[in-house]
Amino acid sequence: MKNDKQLWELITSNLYRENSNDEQSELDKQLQSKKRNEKLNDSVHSLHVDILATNDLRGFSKEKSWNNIRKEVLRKRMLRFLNVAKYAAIVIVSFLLGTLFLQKAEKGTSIAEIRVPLGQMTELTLDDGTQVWLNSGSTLKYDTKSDNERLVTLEGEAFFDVTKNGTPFKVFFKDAAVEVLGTRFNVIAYHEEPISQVTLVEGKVNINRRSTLTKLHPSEQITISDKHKNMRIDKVNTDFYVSWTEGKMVFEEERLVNVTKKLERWYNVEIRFTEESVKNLYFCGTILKNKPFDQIINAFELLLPVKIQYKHNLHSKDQVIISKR
Amino acid sequence: MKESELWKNVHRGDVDALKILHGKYFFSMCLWAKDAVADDELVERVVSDCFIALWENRKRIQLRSSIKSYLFQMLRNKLIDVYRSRDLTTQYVNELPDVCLEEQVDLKQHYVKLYETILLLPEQRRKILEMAAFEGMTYNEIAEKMHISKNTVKTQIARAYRFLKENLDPGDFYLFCILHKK
Repeated sequence: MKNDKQLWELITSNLYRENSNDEQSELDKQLQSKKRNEKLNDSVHSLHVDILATNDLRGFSKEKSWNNIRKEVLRKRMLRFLNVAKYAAIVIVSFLLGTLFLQKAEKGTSIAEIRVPLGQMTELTLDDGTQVWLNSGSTLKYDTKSDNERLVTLEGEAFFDVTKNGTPFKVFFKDAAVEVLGTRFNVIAYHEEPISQVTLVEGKVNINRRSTLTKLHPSEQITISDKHKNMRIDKVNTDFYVSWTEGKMVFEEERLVNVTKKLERWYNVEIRFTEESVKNLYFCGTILKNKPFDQIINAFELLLPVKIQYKHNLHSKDQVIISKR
Repeated sequence: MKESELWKNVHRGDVDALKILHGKYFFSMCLWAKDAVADDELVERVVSDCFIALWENRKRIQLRSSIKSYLFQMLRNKLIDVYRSRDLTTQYVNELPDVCLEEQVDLKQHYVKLYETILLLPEQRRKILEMAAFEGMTYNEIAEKMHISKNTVKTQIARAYRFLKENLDPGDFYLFCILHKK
């Protein structure tokens, strides 16, 4: 065994030319003494050549490679899981909504509520086929159960295209209501504004407020002040009140302050004036909602004697300051 | 576990089976690809990609021959893609060895086995061997670097070779045992 160890050390040291002269002659002696030793020497030599060849593999890491593969496999699994979970979530939510409605229906009422965030617009079709376009920052509630009446409550602006089916359709807003059978009309009733407006495009509607009924004819617009009892009826170009449903706003000789009020909701920004006189400038033109906001302010600067400053805020609405040029 | 069994498990979605396959062929695929692409990092990525692709497409893959030749064929195709994407001359592609020649792969397998056995050496011994064999350091230099005597270096080198020889000779049942214990 001792000899064995010595022989191995002599053979391997020889591979690296690390034997002294004495050691080298000792190795030669041992190799010549036994055929077995020589055979061992030969096989260690070929082993050595092979070891040197494995140098090619030293640049690779099996662990690193596997970690990358595993990460990818897990990522794909997670993606697939999320994909399935997405549908599962939809099913669960619709199931919950379903049971919610069912429970309410059993009690006799079931109010659905649609809220449109600022800067967004939505279009929906009610059970009876009536189409409703809801403008930015509006909320619509409707009773999905009632059989002999169709009742909706509006906060904000909506355009209604009511399907005629024999039962009255009522829109409640603020302290008034519009009663119709089947027509197209627009209602503006934002809480933060002191007036509401109903504009009739076609058909016939009744405005019911404080137990007085007022009839409106096509192209007529009624303006209701929150504070006063009196109401005003004007003939208007109804295009403006329809066009927003198509993503555009047509202004004909409109005061800038009224234009900016719309823009504030539409683009979810805050618009301020540095001088009162600027508010009363008149603006004519069509604004397309799908156009970026900066294009619109550029147009203002081009058409009106104003200077516009845009402040981007991270945690609150962006601010637009309009001043005299 | 048999190859066919292993593939069946991968096919079924068993990540551990994929890991075994990877462990089995990673080095030989790298070595084989290294003949075509000199960049180790790129080779490793391409080889890793083969296993990722195998996993992703496992449901669709119909093996006509062995999983081994499928992997190498995939590797070959991916290397060709690498050449094309880098807009390198495709001349070399034609020189890529044909994978159908299993001996080509098995020849590499011999070095892989040796290298994996080197990795089984105790860490210090392996380091000493690597310094001598791959970094061309003398026994004295190694001794100094490792804070050991020259004599210890000599002993460690001898033991390393002995370990490798004993574990690689035909009928290497011992190696079989330790590899599977790991």
